[in-house]
Amino acid sequence: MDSVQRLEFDTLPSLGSAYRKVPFQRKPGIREGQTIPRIEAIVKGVKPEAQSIFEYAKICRFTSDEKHIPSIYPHILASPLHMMLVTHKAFPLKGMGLIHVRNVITEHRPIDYQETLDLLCFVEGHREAPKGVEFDLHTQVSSNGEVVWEGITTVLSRQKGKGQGNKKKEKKTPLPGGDPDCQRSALWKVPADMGRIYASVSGDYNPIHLYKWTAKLLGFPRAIIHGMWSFARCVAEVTGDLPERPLTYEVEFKLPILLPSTVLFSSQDEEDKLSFAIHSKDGSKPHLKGRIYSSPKA
Amino acid sequence: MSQEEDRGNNPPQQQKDLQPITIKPPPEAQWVNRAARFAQKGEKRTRYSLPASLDSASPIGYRTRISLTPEEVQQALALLSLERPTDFAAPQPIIEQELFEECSLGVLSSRQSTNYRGHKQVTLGPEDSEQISHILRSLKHKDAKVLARSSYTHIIFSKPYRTPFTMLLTLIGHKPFLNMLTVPLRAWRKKFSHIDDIPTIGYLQHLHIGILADAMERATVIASQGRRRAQVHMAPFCSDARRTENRALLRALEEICGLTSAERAQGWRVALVTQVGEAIPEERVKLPASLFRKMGANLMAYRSERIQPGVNQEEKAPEQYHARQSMDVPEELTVMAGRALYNAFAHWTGGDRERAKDLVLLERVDVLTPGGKERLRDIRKMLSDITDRVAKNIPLWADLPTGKAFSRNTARGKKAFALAGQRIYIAGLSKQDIAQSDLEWELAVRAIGAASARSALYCELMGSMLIPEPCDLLAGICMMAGPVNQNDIGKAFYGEKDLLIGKYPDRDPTSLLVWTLKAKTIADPIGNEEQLLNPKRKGALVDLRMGPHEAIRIKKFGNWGPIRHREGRLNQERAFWDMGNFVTGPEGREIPGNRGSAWPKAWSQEFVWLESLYPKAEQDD
Repeated sequence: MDSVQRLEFDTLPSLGSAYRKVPFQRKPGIREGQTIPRIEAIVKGVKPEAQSIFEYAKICRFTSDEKHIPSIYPHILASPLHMMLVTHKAFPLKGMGLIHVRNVITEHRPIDYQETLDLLCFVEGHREAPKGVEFDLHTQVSSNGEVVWEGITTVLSRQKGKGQGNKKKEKKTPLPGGDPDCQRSALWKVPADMGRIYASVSGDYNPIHLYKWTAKLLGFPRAIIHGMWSFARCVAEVTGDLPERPLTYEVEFKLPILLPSTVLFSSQDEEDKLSFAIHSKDGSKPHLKGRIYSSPKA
Repeated sequence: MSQEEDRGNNPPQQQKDLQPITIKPPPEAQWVNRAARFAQKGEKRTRYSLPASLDSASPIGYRTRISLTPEEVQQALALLSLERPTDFAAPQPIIEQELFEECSLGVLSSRQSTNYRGHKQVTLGPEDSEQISHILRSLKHKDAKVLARSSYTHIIFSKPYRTPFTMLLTLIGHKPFLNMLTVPLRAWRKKFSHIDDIPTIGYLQHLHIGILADAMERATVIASQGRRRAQVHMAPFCSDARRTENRALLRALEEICGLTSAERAQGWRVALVTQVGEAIPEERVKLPASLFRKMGANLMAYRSERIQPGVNQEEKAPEQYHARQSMDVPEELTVMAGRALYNAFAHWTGGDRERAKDLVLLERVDVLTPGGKERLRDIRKMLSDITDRVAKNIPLWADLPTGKAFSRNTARGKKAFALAGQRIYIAGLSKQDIAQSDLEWELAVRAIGAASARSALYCELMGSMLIPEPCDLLAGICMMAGPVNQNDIGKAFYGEKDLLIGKYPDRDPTSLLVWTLKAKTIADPIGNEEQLLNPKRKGALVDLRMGPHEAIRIKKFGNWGPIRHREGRLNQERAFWDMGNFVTGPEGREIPGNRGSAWPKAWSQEFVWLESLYPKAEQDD
C-alpha cells in the first residue's frame, strides 16, 4: 500500500491556483493493479466569512437564517482542498474532464455562523464504472473535535473505449408532462449569468460555467450551471419541510443544465425521505435526482 | 338620512338557512369528463390540450373540484350565510401562511373579469388598525358596527373598469365625420374624468367590489378555520356624494395607505375596508378542519362554465363535449340559489329579505320558461344586431391602422354573449325603486354583485356534491356582464330597450348581470383557464391572474412592501395545495409547475406583525 500523502494548509488555498495547474499536468492514469493512493488535505481554524455565506444563501435561495450556515455550504469550503487533491502529483488521473456525478452529505447538526471549523479532505482508491473510473473525495468538517458535517463527492474520469455501448441504446420517447405523484412542482428560470454569479461566491471559475465561448472550448454548446448550485437550490427549496438534523442529502447529477434555461423542480414527501428532482421544462429530461432523509444519530 | 346609514350596530340578521340539494348524475353511460391530454410532439395545441407548463405567482393554478359528501355540504353551507360579527375577542398575531390563504380566497381569486385588474389591497397591522377604526367611526353612512380590537385591516382600492373592450366602446355611437372630434373628446373624458361610455361599464366596477366583499368575509373564516371574522364596510365608500361628505376622512385613510397622487389620477379609490379580528367564542364558525381545507381548495377550482355539452360546443371540440347529457338542475336547487341571492342582497344592503325580493329584478329566460325559447331567440338576435351595428359603425380611421382589430374583436365578442344553459337569469335593479328605498345606488349594485356571486357559489357547491368518480362536476355556472353591456350599447346609441323591460315594464329596470346554470359532468376546456395564467396564450389582450406581490401591499415595521416577495423570491405556492386537487394528464402526469412550491416555512410560519404589537389578552376572552 502506498504511503499517505498529506497536505497541510494554514488557510484555505485558492481554487484559481489549482485550476491553473490542470491543463498542464501529465498524468499516467491508473495502471493495472494500481489504485489512487490516499492523499489528505487538512486545514484548521477556518472561519467562514459571513458575507460569503450571505451571498451564497441569496444565490441558492436559502432563507436568511442568522444562526446557521446553509446545509450545503461547507462543500464550498472544501472545494479548494478537493482541487489540491486531484492536482497532487501522486494523483494518477487527469484533472481535465473530471465529471461530478454524485454527492452524499451528512449534516450531523446545524453549524453556527460563528464556529471555527477544521477541514479534512482525502481521496483513496477507485472503482470501475461503466464509462470510466470513479473515485470519492471525502470531506470531514469538525468543530472542537466533533465531526459536524461529512461529504462524499463522487467523480467520474471517463476512460477511452468505455461506455460506448450505451450510445446504441434505443432512446425512449419521453411522455410529456411532469412525473406523476409529485407534491410540488415549480419552474425555475436559471439566467445566463448564473454560472458566473455562483463562481463569484464559490470560487469555482471552471470555464464551462462562465460563458458560451469558454464552454464551447471545452465541448459544451453553452455554459452549464454548477451541479452544486442546482443541488443547493433544491435543498433550499425544501428546507422548510425537513426534519431535525442529522440529515443525509444525496444527489445524482444527470444531464447538465445549459444556461440560460427554464427547468422544472419537483419534490415528493415520502414516508421516510423527501425526494426531489430537476427536469427539463417539459419534464422529459432529467438533470438531477436526489433525496433527503434522517440519518442515525452518532 | 337613508335607511342603511350610520349604523351603530349591525343590520338585523335576515338570512334564511340554505339546504343542500342533490343533482342527479346522468346514466353512467353518459359520465364524461374533460380528459385533456398533453399535445404530442409536433401536434398543434388547442384549448382542449393540457398546458405544457405553468410559471405563475398566482395561488390558483389549474385545479379540479373536490367531491364533497352531503354532510360536508350541509356543514359548509354555514359559510354561505355568515352574519356580521358583533364583536372581536382580544387580537392575536397571525402567521403569514394564514394571511396568504386569506388573500388567495379574497382579492387574488375573487370572481373578477378575465381582463380587469381593478382591485388592489393594502393590509395594515394592529397599530394602524386602531387608527383606522377611529376613522371608520367618524365616517358618515356606515353600514355596520365598527368593531374595536381588530387584529388587522384590509383596505381595498378599486379603479374604473377598463379593458380592451371598453377601449372599443369609445369608438361607438359617433356621427360620421364628427367622430374625428367626438372620439378624442370622449377618450379624454374617460381617461381623465373617469366618465364611462355606457353606464353599465361603470356599474361593473361596483359589481366586482360586491363580489369581492362577499368573498373576503368568507375568506377570513376559511383561512383561520373559523377563528377569525371579518367586518366589511362598504357603504361609506359608495357614490360621489358620500365620498364628498367623507372627503377629509377618506384622504386620511388614503394617506395611511400611501396612495399616491398618480394612483388617484388613475381613478384608484377606497372601495371597502375590512376589519379582521378574533371571533368571540359564540361567533366562531365550527367546521372540521379538513372541510375548511377542502372548501378553500374548491374555491380555488371553481371556474366559469360556458359550455353546455351538446348545445354550444365548438365543432372541433373533443367527442365528449358533443353529446347532450340526460341531467337537469332540480327546481329546488334554483329555489335555494334564489334564497342565497336574496340572503346576500339583504346582508349587504342591511335591509330585510322581503325588501331584497322586491328590489332585485330577476328574470328567467331559459327554454323551460313559458315562451322562453322565443324570448331567448329575441335576445340573441338583439345582441347580434347590436354587434353588427357596432362593427359597421367603428370609424375607419381608427380601425384600419390597427388592422381592423376593433371590428374583429367586436365580432369575437359574440362568443362571450352565448346564452346557453339549463337556467338563464338576468338580474337588475330599478333606479327609482332603489331611490325610494333610501338605498344608495352604488351600494345596491355592489349588493347585486355579491348576491349573484353567492348564488353562483351555492350552485357550484351543489355541483361538487357526490361527484361520480370519473366526472369533473355536476353543475357549473357562467356569470356574464357581456350581454348586459351589449344591450346597454343598444340602449345608449341605438334606441334599444333594457333586457328586463319585458318583465318589469313599469319599473324602469337596469339589467346588470346575466348568469347561466348548467348541469353537466364535463368541465370546460382548460384552455379557458390557461388564458388567465399564460401570457403567451392571448398576449396583451388578457391580463393574468395576479401574484400576491402584484395586488397586495403590507405595512410592517413602518415600511411598505408587497407580500410574498422577499430576498428575490416570488410566490410560487398554490393556496390549499395540500388538498392535491390539481389537473393532471392521462396516467397522472403533471402539468409542470402546476403544483407550485412552498413558500419557505421559516417565513410562512412567522408572525406577520410582532406579537408585542398586540395588546395582552384579557382574562375574560
